[in-house]
Amino acid sequence: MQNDSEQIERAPRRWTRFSRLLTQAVLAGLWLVLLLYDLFAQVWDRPPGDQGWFRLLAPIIALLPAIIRLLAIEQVENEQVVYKTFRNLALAVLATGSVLIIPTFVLTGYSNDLVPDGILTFFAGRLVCLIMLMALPWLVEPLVQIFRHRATGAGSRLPRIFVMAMYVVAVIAQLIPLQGGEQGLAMEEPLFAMGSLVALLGLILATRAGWIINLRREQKWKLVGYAMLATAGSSMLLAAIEHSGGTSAALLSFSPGLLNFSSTLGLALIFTSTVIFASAILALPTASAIDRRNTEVSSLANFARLLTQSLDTEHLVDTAISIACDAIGARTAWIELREGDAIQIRLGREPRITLRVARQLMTQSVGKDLVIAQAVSQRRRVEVVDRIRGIVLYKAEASGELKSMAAAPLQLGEDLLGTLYVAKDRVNGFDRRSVVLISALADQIALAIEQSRLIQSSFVRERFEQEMLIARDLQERLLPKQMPLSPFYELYAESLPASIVGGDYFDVVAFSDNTIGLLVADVSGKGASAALYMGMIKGIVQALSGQCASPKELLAKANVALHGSIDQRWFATMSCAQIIDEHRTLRVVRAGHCPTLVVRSGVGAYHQPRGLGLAIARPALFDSNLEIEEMAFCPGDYAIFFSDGLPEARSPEGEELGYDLLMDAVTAAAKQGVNPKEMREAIFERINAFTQGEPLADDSTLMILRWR
Amino acid sequence: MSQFTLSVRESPPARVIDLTGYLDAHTAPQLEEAFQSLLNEQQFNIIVNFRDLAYISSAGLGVFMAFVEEVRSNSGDIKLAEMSPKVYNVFDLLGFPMLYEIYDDEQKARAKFSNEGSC
Repeated sequence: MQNDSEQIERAPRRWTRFSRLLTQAVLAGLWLVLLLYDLFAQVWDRPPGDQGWFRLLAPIIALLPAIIRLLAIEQVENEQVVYKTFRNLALAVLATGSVLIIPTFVLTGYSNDLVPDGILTFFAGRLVCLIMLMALPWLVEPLVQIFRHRATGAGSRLPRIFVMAMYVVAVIAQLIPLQGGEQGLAMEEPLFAMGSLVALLGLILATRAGWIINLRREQKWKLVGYAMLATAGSSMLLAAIEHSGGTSAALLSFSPGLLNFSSTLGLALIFTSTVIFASAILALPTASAIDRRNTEVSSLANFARLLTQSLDTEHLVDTAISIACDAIGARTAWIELREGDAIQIRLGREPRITLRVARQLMTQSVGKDLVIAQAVSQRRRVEVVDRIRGIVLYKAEASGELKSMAAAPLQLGEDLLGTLYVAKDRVNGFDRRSVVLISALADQIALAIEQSRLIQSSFVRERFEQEMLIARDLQERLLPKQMPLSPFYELYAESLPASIVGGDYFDVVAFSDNTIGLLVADVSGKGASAALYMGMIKGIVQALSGQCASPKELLAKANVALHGSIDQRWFATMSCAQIIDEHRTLRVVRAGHCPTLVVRSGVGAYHQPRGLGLAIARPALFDSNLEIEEMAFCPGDYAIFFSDGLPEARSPEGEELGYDLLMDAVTAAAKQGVNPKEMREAIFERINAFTQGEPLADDSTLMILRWR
Repeated sequence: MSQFTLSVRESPPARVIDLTGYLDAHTAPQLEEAFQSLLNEQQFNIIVNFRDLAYISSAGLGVFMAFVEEVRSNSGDIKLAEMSPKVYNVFDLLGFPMLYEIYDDEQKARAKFSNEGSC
């Protein structure tokens, strides 16, 4: 990209240089031809007034390429280019003026009717003309280029009109044949007046000095200097041309048109340098303000770029501090970051303040508006002076170099992410303008911090999800992998957590008499906390079961272990059934759990023996309310234990499946004499039809026993 | 889903918490806060009116367990009133009727408080 544009720029520059050389060559040629012509005229002793058409037209034609070049000058956008052009112009004018002022006084050999008194005077005069001719492109081109700054539309015609007018007046001056003596000089005055009018056009053009505003402060100072040099140079040039001394005599005798052109140019130069001098002087008081504005704009642009680049919050904050310092012209800045209750103070990469001082200067700010700055210590006192747009301005007294301070909340919607502190070494260092900027910066910083935090948290979340998957794997391993095989019954069980891990579980235990116990439990709450409790209950039940002869005893002991041991809000429900094989009997206890669905001879019924949830009540109350129910079965009967996730399955409209529909599904399948696995399929077919494929909101566990 | 809302009103000799919508893990903390502020105000005669409550989850049930002991140790009580059959069923499954007084009418709960007060 950059190379391309450089090449594009370089090509015209080379052309410019070449065409300028060409123009100068044409002018030098003219000079040489006229030198020879006039030499022969001297030799043949032709009278000075007797000038042929060639002698009159040659200068006009020779100036033409220069004029065409001037008309073709491109419009300039960049104020830096105009600045450099003016600098070059000033130096060229100074050089030309200093050189040409000398012959005005030294070259005294011309008579009143411009006849040189000797060959030496003639050559010296012609040398003056050569200098003027060679200097012309260096003077007039930059001038027009300055006029062309941002000249668009109607304005673009004015510089061209100026050039054309200059040329036309010069042509007229040239074409009025030099009569010599009084008559010739009489013709000069109105033409000079015309030239002055043209130069006034230049004055109008020079007032379009908008480019000066955007220069840097030190450039404006330099510009004042260059304008002074240019004024001096053009004054000397004009004096040399206008003064009836050697220089003007030499030029006039060479070509009245050139003299006229030079005089118009000299006037235009003096106008232009004066206007630029005045504009530069006037721009100086606002120079720092404009510099600052330009810095501000680039700071905000920098920050916007940073926003998209930095992922690391600390790196981002440090950069933000440097940018804030630059943009606001602050001595130092620091940022207090809040994340939850944690507060972190960052001083940036090149802190100009110690953490201790920063702490002392900071207010006890809480909440969204920064509250009053307190006398934090006796030595460093800060006091609120103003409050604008949620930004608090402080006067910091006796705090070393820092004399004023501003604090802006880094706020995003309702969230306060921190505070930006900016301090200056001047009293009342913050005006309304800097407050607006601080506010804009603070918003940007808040946005950037939030973004980087979101990205960070997505990393953390990813890792957390990984760990949760491990937890799920572990939890799955806590469930029995194989159901006991028995000639009396078939078993099927499964547990589906609603999220990655859940609080439901089922288990198979052995009582002290080696009878088998079936368990289905539901821990209150969902997700990770429920899963942890589930693991704990499983451990307790497994440890106790071997010492217990009945499910009632097991649950009673489990309640003793659990009651009061955890959060008061926490509880669990559990159904436990002891299988008495040979009698096809279950001894069922229910600790607050869902009822057991029993299908006997194809008829379904819910059995809900009395019982409180685990960890809800004191052992005495729990035990006295725990009822044990003996259920006798025939071959082909079912006993189904489940958790509330099943009957509470919801349709997209928010309806619950309910116990009745659940029982319908089970009895319908039971009539087919399905095995437990097929019963599970029948139940979930029904649930899925009801929920229309929506995932279950709660953990759901199912344990199905069918008597052989 | 109907939003959960909660309001507390004075109905001497008790304070009544009216619940509407879904009381689950997300909304339970609001109820907890309400209980906590009543306790902070030394209000220990509390009636919870369930008339407009559509659903209660285990986390919602846990809230009552969290406060009942403190309330009773201050010779107050949490009485529950006007539950829909579905909500009652959830309380019933857990055996809460053994632990809490549940009334079909808020008036009765208030009368009970008045009687206790006069004893």
